[in-house]
Amino acid sequence: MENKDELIYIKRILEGETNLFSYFLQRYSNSVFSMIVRIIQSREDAEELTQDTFLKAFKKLDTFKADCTFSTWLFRIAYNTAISFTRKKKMILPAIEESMLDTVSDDALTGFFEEDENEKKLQELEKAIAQLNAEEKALITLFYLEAKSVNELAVIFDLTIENVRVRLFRARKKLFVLMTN
Amino acid sequence: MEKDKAIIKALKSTQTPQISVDFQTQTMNKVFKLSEQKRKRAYILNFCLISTVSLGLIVTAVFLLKDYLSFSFKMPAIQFTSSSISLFAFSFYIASLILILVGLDSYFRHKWLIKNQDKQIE
Repeated sequence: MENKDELIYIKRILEGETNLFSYFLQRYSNSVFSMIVRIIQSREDAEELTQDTFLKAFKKLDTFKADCTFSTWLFRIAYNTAISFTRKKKMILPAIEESMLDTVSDDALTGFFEEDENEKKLQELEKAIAQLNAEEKALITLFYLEAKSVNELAVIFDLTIENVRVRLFRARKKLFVLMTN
Repeated sequence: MEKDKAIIKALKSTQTPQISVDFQTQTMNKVFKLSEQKRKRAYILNFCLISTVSLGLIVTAVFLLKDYLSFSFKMPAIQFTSSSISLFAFSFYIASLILILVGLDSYFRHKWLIKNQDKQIE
């Protein structure tokens, strides 16, 4: 129903009712900013990139095909904008050797992130999340915080559904390695 | 993966800065500017397109008339006779009548539109 309303808004914006774009700003600016600030880790840059995301969305609104929800399309623009920025700035994050991830068994991960009462563990987890790369941060933010489905993530990250599952799993493994070492 | 409550809690508790209060106003101002630019660009594009097509049509028409139909663009010498004057007066009368009727139609249409808009606002 919401998606239907959004399509009507988009149609009216394209017909000249520019002020209706404020609806999308009100609805999504905080979530888009939240995702970008986790990738960029600079408030000023993140705010500028959030603005860029909305301006790009407005410019390209006529290309929105409605084959996905508006929020998925918007997050895709936001993710690409943030990733281009990290590439330009050449942000370096600590790398973890692939062999270390391979040593983590699936059993070790089972239930590891289920307990949410241990404060020390939560602090370690926060630190570990900060050490993930841009794509992984965006992935887990959208999956866990914005409750995006794997299908939607596949559209946002331009990956296959299977690839999204693999990357989410690897991100969890990476968090496990960062926390246990 | 849906059961990873610790990750959700850690993400929620991570202190993320808040977006500035006037962010929406600033962005909307930029959106309005962009929209205006878009409108201007579309207007210029349309104007150029119509001008080019019109010019093309005129050139083609002149070319066809002159080269294929051997049309002469010289004004013919007009000789006023009593019959031509009466014919001219009649044509002028008909043309004026049409203009007055078209004018009245446009005037009443305009009035009717304004009246309808006022009703809608009420």
